[in-house]
Order: sequence, then C-alpha cells, then structure tokens
Amino acid sequence: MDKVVGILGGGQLGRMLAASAALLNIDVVVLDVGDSGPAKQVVAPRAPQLAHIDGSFADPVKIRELASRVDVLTVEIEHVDVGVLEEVESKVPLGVHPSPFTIKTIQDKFVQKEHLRKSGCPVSDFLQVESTEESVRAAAGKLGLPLMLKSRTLAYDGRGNFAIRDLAQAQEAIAALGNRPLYAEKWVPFVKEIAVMVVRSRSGDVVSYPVVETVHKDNICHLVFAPLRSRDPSIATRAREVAENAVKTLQGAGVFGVEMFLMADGTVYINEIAPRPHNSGHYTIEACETSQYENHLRAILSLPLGSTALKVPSACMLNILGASSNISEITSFSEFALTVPGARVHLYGKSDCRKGRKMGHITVVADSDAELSKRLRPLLERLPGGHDPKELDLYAPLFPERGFSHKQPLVGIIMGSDSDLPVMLPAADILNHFKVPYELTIVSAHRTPDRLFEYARSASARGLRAIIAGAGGAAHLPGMVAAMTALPVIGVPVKGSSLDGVDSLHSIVQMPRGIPVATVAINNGTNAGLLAVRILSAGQPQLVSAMDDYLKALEKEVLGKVDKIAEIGWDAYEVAKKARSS
Amino acid sequence: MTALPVIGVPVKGSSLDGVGSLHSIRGIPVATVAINNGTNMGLLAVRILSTGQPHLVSAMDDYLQTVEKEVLGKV
Repeated sequence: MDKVVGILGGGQLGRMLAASAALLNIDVVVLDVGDSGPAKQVVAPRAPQLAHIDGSFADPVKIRELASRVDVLTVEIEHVDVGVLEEVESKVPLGVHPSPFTIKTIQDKFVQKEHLRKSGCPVSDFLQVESTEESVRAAAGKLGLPLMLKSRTLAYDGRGNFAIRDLAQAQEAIAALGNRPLYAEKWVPFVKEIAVMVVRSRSGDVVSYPVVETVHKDNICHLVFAPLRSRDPSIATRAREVAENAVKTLQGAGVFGVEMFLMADGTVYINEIAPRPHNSGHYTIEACETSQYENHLRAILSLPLGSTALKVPSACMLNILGASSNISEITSFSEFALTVPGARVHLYGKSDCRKGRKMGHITVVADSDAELSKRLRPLLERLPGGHDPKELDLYAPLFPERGFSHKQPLVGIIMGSDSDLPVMLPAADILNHFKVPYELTIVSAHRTPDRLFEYARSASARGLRAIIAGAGGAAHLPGMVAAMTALPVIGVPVKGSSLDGVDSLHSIVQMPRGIPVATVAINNGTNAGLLAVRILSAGQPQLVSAMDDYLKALEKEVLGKVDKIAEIGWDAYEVAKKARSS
Repeated sequence: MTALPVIGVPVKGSSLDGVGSLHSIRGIPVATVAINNGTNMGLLAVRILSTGQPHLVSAMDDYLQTVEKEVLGKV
C-alpha cells in the first residue's frame, strides 16, 4: 500500500496494529521508550528512515521527528501531547487520526462527558469537583450515594476510579486518586456492561461491530463475550445506534471503543469512549470478517472499510493478567491454552511480569455458546492468580444434570400443559443423545399469553436457534410462537381424550401462508427432537454425520430383526407370540 | 436416506381433500406444512437455513413485518 503509519505508543495495541499492517504491506514506525517494546518487536524496519523512535509519546521533539517521517499519525494511547499533534497536523501528508480535537476531548473524561451531553448522547449525571472533602460532600448531596469519583485525566484500566459508599471515605478517595483534577458521576446501577467498536472513515461515515458484553474484575477488563445475549431483542440495535451517534460527533478517522452501561429497563448510557483500538475489540481478530486493527488502518488510510460482521456464532476474549512477577505462570497457562480447541493465544512480549499487568489474551471461538463455555471453563479454572468458583457457572456453565435446562440452550422445548410432558420427553432424550443444549418449560398460549409473547419475541436474541412446541386440541402454541419469531418452529400434535389427536394435527399443520410450522406426526416427540437436530445441522455440520450414524444404527436394528425372523421363524417371534396370546 | 432436514408438502389429490397425503407422512421426521402450501415450504426452508446463516434471521424478521404491514394496510 506504499504508506507509512506512525504510531504514538508501542504497547500491545500498537503490536496488534503493526501485525495487521504487515499483512497489507503498510510500514509502521513506532514512538515509545526503549528498543524492544511489544509493538517494536514485531516490525523490523525495511529501510533506515523507517527505524522506530526511542522516546516518550509525550515528548514534543520526538513527536515532531515521527511526524516528519510518516504519511499519517495515529495513537494507541490517548494520553499524548495534543498541542504538538495540532502543530504537526498540517505537515503530515494524511494528517493525524483521530483528530487532535477528538483526542483532546476524550483524554479529559470530564470534557468528554460534557461533549457527549451537549451532543445529546445518553450519559448519566456528573459534576466537576475539587479535591476537597467539602466539594465531594456537595457532589454527593446532588448526585446521591454511592458516588463514583473519577480522575479527569490519565485514567485507564480502572486506575482513577473510586466508588464512595460512605462520605467518611472522601479523604481516602481523594488521596487514592493522587490529588489529580476530579469529577463525580452519579452511580449507575447497571445490569450489564456492554461495548461496541465503531469505525469512522475520513469522510465521517461510521460502521459498528456487534454489541459485546464486557466483564470487569477489580476494574480491569476480564472477559468479553460476543455477541451480546439478552431477552430484549431491541437492545443490540439501540446500543449500536447510541455508539455510532456518539462517534459521529467526534472528528477524524479510526476505530473507537464505546463502553456503555445497560440498565434493567433496557436503557443504555455511555460510560466512556476510547479513540483507538480497544480491549473489548480484541475478539474481532478471530471472530469478525475484519479486525478492529485492520479497520483502523483502512480508515486512517482512506482504504475501503471492511465488513464488521461476526464470522463465528460465538466468541469470547479472556485477558491474561500478571498474577505476580513470575512470568512462568503466564507461559504455562498459555501452553495449556494451546490444548483447547478454538482457543488462540496472544502474548504481548512484555519482559516484566507484574500483578495486574496485561500480559496477553486468549480468544476462544465456537459454534454455540454452550460449546464456548465448555472451552472457556478449563481456562478460567487455570487462570494465573486463581478464580472465583462462582464465575465458572456464571460465565461458563456446564451441561446440567438430566432433567434441568441448559443455561445456554440452542433448542427450546415448550408445551402447553404439564400433561404434554410424556409426549415431549422423547424429544428431550433425542437432544441429550446428540448433546444439543436445550431448555424445557411450560408456555400456554391460552393461559399464559404474556409469557408466550415474551418467550417467542426473546428467543432469537437469547441465542435459541429452533423451538419445539407441543400442544393438544386447539393447539395454538406452535403457530403463535412461529408468528412471533423468525426461528424455525416444530409443532408436535398431542393426542387428547377425543378426536385421536387429528384435531391437534390439523390445527398445527394448517398454518396460513406466510407462517410455517414444521409439523411432525401425532404424539411423536422423538421425530420432533430428530427434526430439531437436522435443522441445527444447517449450522453445525458435525450433526450431519451424527445423524448419519443414528440412521445407520436404526437400519442395523431393523436388519437384525430381519435376520431373527429368518432364524427363529415368525411363529416364535416375540411380537407374534404376544399377538397370539391376546 | 439423508441426514438433512426434509420438508414435506401434502398435495391435494382428487379425494379426501389431501388429508390422505397429510397422514401418510410419518416415521423418520419430515417437517410437514399445510396442504398445498408451497409458500410455507419455502419459508420453512429459509428458517431452517437461518440456524447456520444468522443474517436470514433478520431477513425473516423483515418479511414478517412486511406481512404484518400488508394486513394492517387492508384493515
């Protein structure tokens, strides 16, 4: 591509950006202290003028030197000297991206929040405070307790946040935040933290990546799950809109990480924005059609932006933090990760290991959330520094004991009444046999209409891929569910006390044009389960061969009976004996 | 003879209004749709494929919304 990109900062983000640049023949010059930081290690300059620069990304002289040698300047950290960037902006052929205005706005979190509020983006209430107890007390009077006290500048990875639950903590908080300029945020009782990566082209067009759930431990990113699962299918669209609109208000090109809070009522608040590739977007390397790093390069160099779509059904990212100064813990954990299918290890080449330092990350992909959990769980169990046993069942649940629903089901088995259970059990048995994660519950079209509505509307957003619905008599359940979801719905006509189940069969199968229900035979839960497996095989090819094996076993069973009748004669055959004796 | 999902459409014959064709489909699972309803056969195939191609889920959502709009238009 014949272009040289200068990066201020040479940590892990610069490393992954540089690795991505190499694939496009884009040269990268890194400014950071030392000769062998994470980014510099991965790019050997192919000409003397492309040599990396040893110095601070806050040093004006070094920034000017970098600017004189590149086509475009970008950052992997926002805590840079914006004054110098403004000065060199016109001298760099393709400019500074994102723009110095954007970096200046974002690097002071109070200014960032004011900008977002003025631009009409959803943010929670906040106030400027002085580093005094009285000022903190006054803020608590207006915003209530608990109160989030934050450092305006130089804050990242949770450093610079202090949650005040009691005003007696005010002095402790001010000291902990190092007497830097502060502001206070109203406490946001979120149910989930979510994030969206947004790419902004030089002309101001934006595209966004799928919404992810982020999990923090001690204020540092711990896990990222893609895509977000929720009961409310509108959240994903809404969160992407909020993130895209926020990035539209900024200037310059590049990728932006928008961190948000999701409230119980579905409201989304922006927490903060990073003007660069972000930890919550590492998963895009393995899980999306274009990584956040490649799209950052494409954006700042005016190349066509790449597709942001997921290319795997389920992905997660696990940060590897130092647990002590002992780097061998990191090495042996990474070696274990190599044995986990779908897991890919990224180590950052940091020579010093420290407690809490980001040493690397692992991305895990799978064809379903349940399979992802199976892969993630042993990694969580072996994470250096230990783990909270509760998080295993929360973030990586196993297949449940027989008789209980999986927390990450692909198939939902529902029935209109508990009396339908004997008919539906064989469907559950089949799904057990094929190791398909499922849930089983009662949803009555006539007696619990609101539950029916909620179940059908949320099914796809929760991660379900097919629904088996059993009902008798008027049997409205399968058809009504099919009307309210885009997923394939299998209907099982249940035989009632009159009309031999033909009533249920006709009711379920004779759907109007536009809304199909895949109907199986009366009382045939087995076939419903088998059909669900066949349907899932459209996305999970290994189920095709599992089904082939099942069919072969059936064939063998029948052929065995053929041989037996031939061997012992039909008069001695069990079925014949029974028929004669009755 | 295949592990793939199979969709059956009972075709209405000269007698029994197609109920004969409907009842005869049993045994190995066949996803049966309404008598003479080829439209639903196509739509069911799309829903089945959506388990492997998530963009078809949103395409089907759009289709359902169009159908709804069409009926409301007639109202």
